[in-house]
Amino acid sequence: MNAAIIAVLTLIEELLPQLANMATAASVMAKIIDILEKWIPIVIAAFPDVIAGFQGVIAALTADPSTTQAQLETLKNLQTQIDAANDAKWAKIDPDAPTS
Amino acid sequence: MRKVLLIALLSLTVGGCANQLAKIKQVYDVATTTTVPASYVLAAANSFEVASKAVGAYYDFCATARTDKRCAPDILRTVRSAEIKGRKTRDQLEAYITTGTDAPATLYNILVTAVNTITTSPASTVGGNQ
Repeated sequence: MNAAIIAVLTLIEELLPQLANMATAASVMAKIIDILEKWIPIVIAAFPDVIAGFQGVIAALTADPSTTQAQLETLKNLQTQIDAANDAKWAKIDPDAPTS
Repeated sequence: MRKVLLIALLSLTVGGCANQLAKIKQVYDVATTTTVPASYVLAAANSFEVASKAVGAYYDFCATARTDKRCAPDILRTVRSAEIKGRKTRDQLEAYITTGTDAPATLYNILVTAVNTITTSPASTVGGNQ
């Protein structure tokens, strides 16, 4: 695994303890979503092995009642990007795709 | 909720896909009640994401091993169908996860069936070990 992705994971882990503090939880969540927004396109392209973990974070944040509507939209867009990666892979092997 | 996030992050850092797939294989039965708690739905959604990742790796495998019997058209269609159904159902269940309210078991069962279809397909063995 590349040093860059390890740095991202480390950063998220460092943010974790702050989630227990209700006073800072909202800003921490915003930071985590910001990280996801910046890194998921990179992870999709270069580190697909860890994408499921990022999807787990998206699902968990989606379930958090303090997540704002705007943040939910951001999370949904990130999920759409991940889905699109599989769609692109499928397009290469679709047995029913028309042959040219 | 914080525990759920912690679990998700731990899986991000320490969980290999093969291990994650092994875990979700033993989890799910269809619900026989009319509604299912949101926590169950969240867990099923997370399992679907793991399965979905395995599907991506399976597609990669089949792109380079087109003649492999595990990549037969019928199997590919079955896996793709489960992925699409699971994805649509996951999106439909999102509102229940967000609000923490019980979800219809019919929807939950579709998601569970999608996960089970993927985990019992070659996508589990091929994609889960990539």
